[in-house]
Amino acid sequence: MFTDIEVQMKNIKTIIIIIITSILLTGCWDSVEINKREYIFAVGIDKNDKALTFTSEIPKINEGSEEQRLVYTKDSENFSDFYATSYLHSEKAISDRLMQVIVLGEDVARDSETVKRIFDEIQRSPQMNRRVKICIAKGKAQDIINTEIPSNPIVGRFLSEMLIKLKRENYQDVYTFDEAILNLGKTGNTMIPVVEINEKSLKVERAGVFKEYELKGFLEPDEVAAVMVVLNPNKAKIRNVNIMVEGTNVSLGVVDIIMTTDMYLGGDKLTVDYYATLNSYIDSFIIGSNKLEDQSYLNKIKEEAIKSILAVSESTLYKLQHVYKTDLLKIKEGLFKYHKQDYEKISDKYDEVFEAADINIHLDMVIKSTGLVK
Amino acid sequence: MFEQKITPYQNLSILILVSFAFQSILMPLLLSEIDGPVGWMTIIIAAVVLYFALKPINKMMLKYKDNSVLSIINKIFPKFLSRLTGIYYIVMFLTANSILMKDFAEQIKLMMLFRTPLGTIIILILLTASYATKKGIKTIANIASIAVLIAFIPYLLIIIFSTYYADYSNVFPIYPFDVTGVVRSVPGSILGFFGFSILLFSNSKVTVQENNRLISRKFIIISSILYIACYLLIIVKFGIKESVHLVWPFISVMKYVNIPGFFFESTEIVGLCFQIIVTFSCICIIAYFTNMAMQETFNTRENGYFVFIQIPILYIMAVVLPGMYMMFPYIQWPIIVLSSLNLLIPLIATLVDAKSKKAKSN
Amino acid sequence: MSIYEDLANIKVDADLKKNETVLKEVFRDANDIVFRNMKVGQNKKLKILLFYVDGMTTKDSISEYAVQTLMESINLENLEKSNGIELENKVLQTNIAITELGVLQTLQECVDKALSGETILFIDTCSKAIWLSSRGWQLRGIQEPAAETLIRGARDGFIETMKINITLIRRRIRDPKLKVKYMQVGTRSKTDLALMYIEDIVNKTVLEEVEKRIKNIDIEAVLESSYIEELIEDDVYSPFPQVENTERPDAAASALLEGRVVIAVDNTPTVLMAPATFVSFMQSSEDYYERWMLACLIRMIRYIALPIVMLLPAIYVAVAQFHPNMLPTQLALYVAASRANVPFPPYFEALLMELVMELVREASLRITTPVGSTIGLVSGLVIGSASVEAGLITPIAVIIVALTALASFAIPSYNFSTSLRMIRFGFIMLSSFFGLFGISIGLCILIIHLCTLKSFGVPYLTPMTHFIERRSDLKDTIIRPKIKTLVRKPKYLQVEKEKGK
Repeated sequence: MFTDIEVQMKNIKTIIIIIITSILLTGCWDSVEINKREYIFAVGIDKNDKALTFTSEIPKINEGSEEQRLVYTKDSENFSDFYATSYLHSEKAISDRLMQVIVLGEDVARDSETVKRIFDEIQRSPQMNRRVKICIAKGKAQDIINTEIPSNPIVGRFLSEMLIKLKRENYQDVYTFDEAILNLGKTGNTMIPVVEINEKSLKVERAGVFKEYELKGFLEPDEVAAVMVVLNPNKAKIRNVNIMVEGTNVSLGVVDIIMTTDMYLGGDKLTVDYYATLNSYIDSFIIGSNKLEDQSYLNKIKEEAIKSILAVSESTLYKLQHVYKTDLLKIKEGLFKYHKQDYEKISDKYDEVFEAADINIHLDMVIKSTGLVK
Repeated sequence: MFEQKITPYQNLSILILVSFAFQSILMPLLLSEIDGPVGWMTIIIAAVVLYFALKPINKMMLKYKDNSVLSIINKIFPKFLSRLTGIYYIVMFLTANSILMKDFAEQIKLMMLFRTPLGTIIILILLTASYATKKGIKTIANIASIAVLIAFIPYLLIIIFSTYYADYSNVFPIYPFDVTGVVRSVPGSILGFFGFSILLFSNSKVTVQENNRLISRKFIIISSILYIACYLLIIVKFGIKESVHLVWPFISVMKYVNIPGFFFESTEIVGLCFQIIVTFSCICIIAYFTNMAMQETFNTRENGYFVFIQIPILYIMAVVLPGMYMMFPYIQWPIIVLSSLNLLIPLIATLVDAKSKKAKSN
Repeated sequence: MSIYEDLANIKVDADLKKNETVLKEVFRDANDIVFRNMKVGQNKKLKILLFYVDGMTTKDSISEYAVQTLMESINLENLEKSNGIELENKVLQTNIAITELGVLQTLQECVDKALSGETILFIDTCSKAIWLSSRGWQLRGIQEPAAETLIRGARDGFIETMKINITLIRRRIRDPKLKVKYMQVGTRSKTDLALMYIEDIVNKTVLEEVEKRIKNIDIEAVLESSYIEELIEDDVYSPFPQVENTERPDAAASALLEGRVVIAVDNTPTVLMAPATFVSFMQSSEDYYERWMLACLIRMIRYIALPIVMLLPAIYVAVAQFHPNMLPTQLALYVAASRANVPFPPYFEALLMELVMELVREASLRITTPVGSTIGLVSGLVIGSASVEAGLITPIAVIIVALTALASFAIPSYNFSTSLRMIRFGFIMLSSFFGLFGISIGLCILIIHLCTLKSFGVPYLTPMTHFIERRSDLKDTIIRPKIKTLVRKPKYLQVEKEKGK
């Protein structure tokens, strides 16, 4: 049925297949079982005299008891050096594929060269978990990683879930490393969450102001909230506006913000006006009082509230413009997108223009509901 | 092998798939060459140029039914020139195929199989694609249709999903735009429509060739919409400043998923799995048309066995070539030359054919 | 030449004795063959010979409607005075009350008919024999098919008698254009086979191809329709079936109405339907009997079950060995923790559990029905939980394998789901070498194979391979179209008539 040539071709094909199969099946190069890896959940980076100190947290994988963890500290030049050394100190393969959070020590964050080196290495790594979160430690990152939290012993998981929650609730602008890098690439500035030790736990209230890969300073919680209002008005909330009106404590919450922005760049003079309408609710008043039915009283509340919010906003603006000289409000980006020609004229001296800019916030408040009291 | 025909819409699937593969490889060029997020203008210009170029080409191909552009050139040009053109197409297809394989293999290596040798990955893709190439155009057309349905569409959906938390104002500023940059990147965009080169061969394999003009138009429109959409997706996700640095934009888009609480840790691996099927279809399509080009250049009866010649050549080229990210600084002139030749060769053939027809009628 | 080979050349002799001698020689040592010599007519002068197979005939009908009428014939004298062709005609037209009969010329034909259950009547001085319809062996009653049960739908199923199966289909399509062509296959078994189609909607090319392939069958015996299936399909080496089979008359009728060809084989309660495509194996009669929305949901679930059957264990292996970062962090840690004390690598776990599952499946098939399913369940549970407790495998592997097994039962066609189960092992091997990349390569190879595969000229993956040209066919793939809109026959069968019911 088959000619000689066809039989020969068939034989050659079979031989080629056998050779290739045996070559290909000589080793499963990337096969490492899931339980034979050590997953770094959190890494803290501090500076020391010679190099960097890496503090890593690895959850122990024992059946039913993955709540235990291993924390160890090593001095290394960079991540690769750290992995290479750690590889030789454990029976398992070290893996950063499930890395949850990277904590930069304050001293590292203030050194732009070190930050650039670290960020470059993280960005290049093809294997590292792309959803790794980033935060700055107030003080030493090692202390943060070493914190024993009774409710959630794995610090990496604790911080990761905390940061996810803060981003979702619009407390913070940036929560992943990729977002931080994106902002730094776009505008050169970003706001990174700051983690601090809080008795037997950790807290993330403040944010660090980063400019050109260097930590310039910190923003307090209400300042962070003010910045978030400008950055993302649709999702922002102003919580707990506590004022005193005619001897009574009133607490308001702003739940809905409608904001428009007006930018004008005339030569070297930048003028930015933010017009915001704040829809608010009365959170707490005093039982038995009917004052909230009085429109003039409500107007007084509005006035006081606006004054209070404006005070915080203006102090935040002052800090950003004159103390940190960092445009966290993404005005630069807005100028680039909508006033490109004018922006290009001042792009190399933008910092001075920003410092001298006239940034105004105009607030209007609408009290949507005074609440129901029996 | 020689009698098989494909339907017009299968032809369309082939053209769109191949174009998409090269558009994604050449996207970084488009992103980086223009100062500003106005690359979509380049794409529109390229699409318009190709749209008008296709008119006379389709007319000529309809006249010479069942003949690819090389067969037509064999008929109307002297032997030496037609051989040269054939060799040009063979070399171009081989190079394009090996670049596609190399680029894709590197993505696989980096994202999925870090320690596996690159050669192993390349040979696996190559052998699988060759298995399909040997089966003929009908199988390849079927594969292209299936790939569009089960891989291409989910792949696009994943990319769209990944841009969920994007900033749509990143498409600004539009005016003033970088005119030099736009014009300079037109050859790259034209080359991105790689289906144009494939069309010159695949149109001869279609059952109802009268529909070819309509299909060509649809190809240009659909492909340019996809190209612009993908370009804009990248821009809205990253902004122009960051996009300039991207080597594999789609991978970056899929990697960068910043929806808080999203449980899936590695979207890019899922996307890559779909991309494997899309890329493998493109590789076997290009390999088949390389076979066809070889058959028509060397005047052989069959073309199936040329795939055995292609395998070692493609493997060596893919292994030896540096990655795309290393070639970007040097490929400006080759791109201009390639896209010009791709456009001019069939147009010149059309012109010569029209002139000879006039001479004959006189 | 032996007498068996010569039989086709031996004509029926006018002399009864000669016929009897030859036939007794042919059926030497066959004690179930009966030869009955009789003398009929008023004066008992007319000699006849009855020849039949004991157990295959209804003797009562022969006795009552043939022998008795011959014995008590009114035109006795005429009968006894006639001979040869005259006698033959008289007997055929006036003296036998059986409705179905015919004339035979050669002894081979007589043997074939007798072995099919008919009674052969030889009349002295006549050079032709008469066959009298007398088939009457013990039949199994019409029951619900065991492998294709429905919640809502007819409960009758095919049985081993071809003619009754044809009747079951005819009752559903009372159209004179429903044609039934009889054929015979098997040199020894001479199995009867019926080719059924509806004349104005069948694809003539497919019909001719099916006929041609059946005629080319050269085999000794056909014991089951699967023989025919293997002998006529396009690619025997493919794991995927290219001919569909069913035990349900409504499914067969539906196939006929689509323009397909149905092949009914004697001694088989399964009919074959050709051509068969990937999509047809994912369809079930139940889809058309349930409410539209529910049917759509069930169909979609079936298509979700398809990748689960093929790929779930392979994905587990790939994720556990190569890509742990694909899992959510909690799950990854849990899997790692559960694997801590397991000695076997994931691919071995997967293969072992799949093998055990197949063993359980095979074992439960051999055990009688009331006990079989219970034993299957118990063994699955015991083996699964015992293995986990012994630390041989992880709970995740048990869940994966159980899910895969369940998903395979969601596929309506048994032999199609078997093919998918087979392929699963290939995917597990590929994923153990190259992870998800290996699975994708496997999928590419599978797609190539399916794109090359044809069923009687129809591409196997139709209408997906022509999803623009045949987009009207796409509406009967993942979802079920409403009965009102189900008016067109599939375009891939290129039917001549556009609308039908």
